[in-house]
Amino acid sequence: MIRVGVDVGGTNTDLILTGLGQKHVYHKVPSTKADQSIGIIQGVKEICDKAGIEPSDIDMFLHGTTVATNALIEHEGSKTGLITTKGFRDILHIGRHRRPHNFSIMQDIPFQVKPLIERKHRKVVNERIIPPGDIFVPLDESEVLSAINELKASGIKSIAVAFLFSFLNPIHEKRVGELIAELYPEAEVSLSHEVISQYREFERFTTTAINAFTKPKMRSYMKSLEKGLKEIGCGAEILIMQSNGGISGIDGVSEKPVSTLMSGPAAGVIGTQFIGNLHNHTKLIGLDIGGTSADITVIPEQLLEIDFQNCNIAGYPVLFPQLDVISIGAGGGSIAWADSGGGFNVGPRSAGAEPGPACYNRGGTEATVTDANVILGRIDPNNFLGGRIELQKHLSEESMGNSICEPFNMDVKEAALSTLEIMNANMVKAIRLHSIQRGYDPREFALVAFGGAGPLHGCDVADALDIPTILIPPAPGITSAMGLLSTDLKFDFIRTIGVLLDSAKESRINQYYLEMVLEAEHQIVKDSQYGKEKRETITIQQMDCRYAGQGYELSIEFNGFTENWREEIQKKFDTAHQEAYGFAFEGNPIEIINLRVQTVGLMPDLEVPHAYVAPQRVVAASKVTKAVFGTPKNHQEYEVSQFERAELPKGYILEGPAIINGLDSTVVINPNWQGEVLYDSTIKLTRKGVNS
Amino acid sequence: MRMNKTLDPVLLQIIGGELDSIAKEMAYKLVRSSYSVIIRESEDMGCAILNLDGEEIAESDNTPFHVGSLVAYTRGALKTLKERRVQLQPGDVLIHNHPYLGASHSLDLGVIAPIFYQDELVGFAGNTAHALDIGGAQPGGSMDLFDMFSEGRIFNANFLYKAGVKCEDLWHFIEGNTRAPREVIGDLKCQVASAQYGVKRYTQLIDKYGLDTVKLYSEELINYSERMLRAEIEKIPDGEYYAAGYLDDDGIHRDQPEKIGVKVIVEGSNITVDLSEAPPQRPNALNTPFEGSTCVAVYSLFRSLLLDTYLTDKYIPANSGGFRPINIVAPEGTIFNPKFPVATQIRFCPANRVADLILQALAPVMPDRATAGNSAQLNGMYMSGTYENGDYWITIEVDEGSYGGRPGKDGMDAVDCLSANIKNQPIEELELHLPFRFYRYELIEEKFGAGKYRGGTSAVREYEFLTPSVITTESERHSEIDPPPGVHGGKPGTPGAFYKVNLNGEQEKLYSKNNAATFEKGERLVIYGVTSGGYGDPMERDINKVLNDYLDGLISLKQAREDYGVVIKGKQIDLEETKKIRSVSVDVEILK
Repeated sequence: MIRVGVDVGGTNTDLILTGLGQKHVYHKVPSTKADQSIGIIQGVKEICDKAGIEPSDIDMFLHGTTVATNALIEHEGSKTGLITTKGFRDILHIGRHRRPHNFSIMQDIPFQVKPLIERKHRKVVNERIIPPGDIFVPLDESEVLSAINELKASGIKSIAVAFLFSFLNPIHEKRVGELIAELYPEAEVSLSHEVISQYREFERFTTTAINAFTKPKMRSYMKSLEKGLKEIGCGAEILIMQSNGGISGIDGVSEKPVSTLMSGPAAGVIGTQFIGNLHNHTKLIGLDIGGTSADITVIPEQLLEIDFQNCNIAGYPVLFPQLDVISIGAGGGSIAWADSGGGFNVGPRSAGAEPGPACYNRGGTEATVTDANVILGRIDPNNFLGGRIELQKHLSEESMGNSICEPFNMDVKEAALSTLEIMNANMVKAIRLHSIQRGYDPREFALVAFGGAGPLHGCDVADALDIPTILIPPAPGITSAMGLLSTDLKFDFIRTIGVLLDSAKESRINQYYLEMVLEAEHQIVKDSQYGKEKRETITIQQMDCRYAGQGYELSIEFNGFTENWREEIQKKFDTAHQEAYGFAFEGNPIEIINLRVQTVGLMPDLEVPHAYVAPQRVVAASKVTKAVFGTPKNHQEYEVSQFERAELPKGYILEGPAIINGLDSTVVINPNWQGEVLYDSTIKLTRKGVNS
Repeated sequence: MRMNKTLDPVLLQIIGGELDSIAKEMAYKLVRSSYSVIIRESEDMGCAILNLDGEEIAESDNTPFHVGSLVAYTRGALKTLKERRVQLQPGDVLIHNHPYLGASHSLDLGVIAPIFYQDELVGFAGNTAHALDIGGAQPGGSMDLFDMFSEGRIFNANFLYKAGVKCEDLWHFIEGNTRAPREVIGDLKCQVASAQYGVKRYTQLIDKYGLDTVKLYSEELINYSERMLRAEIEKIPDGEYYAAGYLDDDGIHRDQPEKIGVKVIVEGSNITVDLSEAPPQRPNALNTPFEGSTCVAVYSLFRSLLLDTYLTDKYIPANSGGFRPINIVAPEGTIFNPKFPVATQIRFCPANRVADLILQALAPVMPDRATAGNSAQLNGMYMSGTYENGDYWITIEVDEGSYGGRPGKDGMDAVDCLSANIKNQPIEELELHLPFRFYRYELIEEKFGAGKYRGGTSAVREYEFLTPSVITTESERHSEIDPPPGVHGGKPGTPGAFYKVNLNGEQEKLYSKNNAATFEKGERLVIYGVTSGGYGDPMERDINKVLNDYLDGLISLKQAREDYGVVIKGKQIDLEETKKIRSVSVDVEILK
């Protein structure tokens, strides 16, 4: 089975092709921002040429897309309208009436300054559902008709429908959906209970508004991608990565683009898991460092989802389930600078690709993390990314001298080491927050370091956290694309029910679960119509519970109605609360807030990639240079051997300090580390003197 | 003042980051596991790590009023322990809410745990959170209080845990003296867990870096924040600045406004805020504890104004350093520095007015930073009622205000203002669990200050009580005497209002301050927030923005023409007519 994975980034579109025996094919083309599909089609043609196959040979096309994310962040979605409950026109504008910054007078509130739906397009109609799902005010259909007509006349392309308590009874939203379909069938419709049937109106309405705002763009993008692939003869099934780490078909994401907002980072998480599992590591920390930011994920065997109360993209809350990835402003381009109070800062400002680090000689004058690496000899100026850019070490030194050495009275090496130490500390802090603070011990984990700059910093970060093992994937810059190939279909469903455990009716719970499972199966079938084989499915049922009176839920697994199911739930919840907060209110009544169903449609396993052919000759270092390691106050210059990654055979042992130059990233092995090249050309690093 | 050259700037950054996460993690644990809506949904709470002097070395980013006041709580509790000659031990946890010993008000319960390192006291981990009920005269909170003792149970450095052992007796006492035992005891347990967590994390930090290093660098972090603030103060021209405003009344003598005059004296890198021109303390709860509330409101204003976190990506550690350059003068016996034992429960609004008056005083010399008049109050709604079976329900709601027009930007709409920054409670949360029925929650139209940059509008809320209910309100700026002023030619905002709608649909206007107003089952409450003043001449507002406000239903056709000089026909600007009234700059592109 030939699979192609495509991950579209801000600068480059990464492609990977597998299924041709033991060789994976990698390729990179520039991203085409206006219509990402143009770059993709070009890339697919080129990678097929490179692999010696025809586009028609591709069986499956997997894709991580940023179309919805960019539309949201850059505020370039469609003109969108809202039909909502009378009296509640401005839920989207008022939000939770809290300022994002505690101490700021000049701040902007994103959803006020850049509304997803302008007030003039927010229409109210008489209707009201009240708990536990009764109709308090019947829907005024004549008002609905005028609202639809007004929105149509204003040139609205996409309509969100969001009523209070629709999660308890969606009858009014459904009816409005029908009326729009009759009166204005061209319009895209997003009903809040279909987007996410979960309580808290601002968050649900906003999630629905984001869906509506990005939907026309996503649908037309999906169409042009499908068409473009067909035109080059590729009729492969198209599957898109969602924020939850599972894939979905074209129809699924065209209806729910909000499910793809974290598509890219999710692919990185799956890539981390794939590489780790391949080498028998199940507890993993993923560190993906690019030019401006670092994405960090912690995988304690199972994938973690982000808490929905913390799900926030560009200042808009998003209720959709997404894998737990945190992004911090630390990358190769992060700038080192001194502030007026005498503080030493690294980032979050970045020199980006233009002008880039000072050593790029493109006009950048501020010292960056990359400049620090050049100064310390960890990046060879003459062999950076396969020699594509010639770096100017003296510019790195000059910039560091001006921005750091002078204000802090440091020599240039101390300044460079300090820059790295602060940058690494930011990452270590984020990892710690997501591991130790949740009760996971990094010493039991392996660090998967990838992205263009991840393999440069892996040893430093692992040392700070006492992580014993580092895995550097075969093509660190393309690990996210690899993640795309190794995931499964995944659909999440949720219903807010809000009942006490003691008085919850089994029949109602059953009915909700049944509805969700049917919906899930329907979705799996729908997404398989492009597929060529029937998929095995796994379904997990969960309950989000809390002690009655609390405001936040913890998810626990539900294994059906046994004789003592209520006591089992009580016990499981007490344990979960103990683990999360360090204590439990044992015996206090428990409330079931949401029921969840997650259905996974299993994809065939990915062939083991890239087994490595050991050359007959002995590999020697291509050259020996000097590099500095240690702390800012106590450092030492070492002779380091440089290797070309493409030449390293399976089983090769690397002694630190060493530098391994690759086409898309540089691997640095610190003096206290050693490495081994594994069968798929992953490099495994372990600390010297520790048995791996 | 430069940085101590012997210190390592790298370590400073790293320890600063660690302290910051400790405070935030403490807050996270507290919010997530707590019971009452006011903590878990509104986040009316704060957490901090403090040094031996009771200075904050790290704080969480929750409600400004809470995080700033922990200093006073800790110092107050320590003073009491010293007088009692009680030594702290590892494993102790204190409860404290004495308004004359540092508490912000008695409803904000402070929980403080000493941190010991190898048997040496090295600091404190603490938090404060708004308690739903402390067993006072009326459920939740009260306005008409005789003295501090009628506010409810007052704790003065009492032990919740002693050397790691739970003081069951005190817990039973608290449980038996609140109308909301499940919520209050639940929340208190979460507060204890959060403080203990802070102790554990700070100890780990010392394990890693050593006690002397952590001490030295936390002190330097405070110095650093102080330096940053001083550098900004120095940019303000030296001088005396003044602004005055009025409280609606004192809640006793109705419709008699009370004047507050604020003098701001800038001298080099120091600021003195003189609150001598203030009403004498009142024989009800409208008094502001000096240390725990008055000072905190002033500090928090200067942070927002001078170290605006939106305008910089500098890392400014949140700690007590920002307090040092600021001196606050308030004569004893005034509402800003009341004398024991007068009651202080309803203390927020006057302090928030002080914050805004400082801003108004400085507006002329800081035209690029200061706003037009802000709502600068809050609506604190202490609500309770009884179900048919006799059980109480109790909740607290804080309603939004707005911000004045700003240099280059419109004011923020319908947000908490200045020292207040908590979240509203979702309607879908409230109606699921409490006897409320909502009819309206949306923006107020047409009643905010016109300006080149318009004042923020606020929100109107309307709901019905489904049981007999009792409401005490804390609010200001319902009187016409002193709405948030416009600046540089902008127009003022509009006062807020409370209405009671009876079963016949008749509206009755209430005062801004109500003590235990009763509502029958089925009666409604309507709340209008305070809207803010405009910045700059409305005749200079971008005409497309005027059109947009009109199409959005925020201003009327008449306002567009009369206030802004923009003539609109249908859905478009009539440029010819508009040019007869005001100048239209040529580079304004007319929207299609």
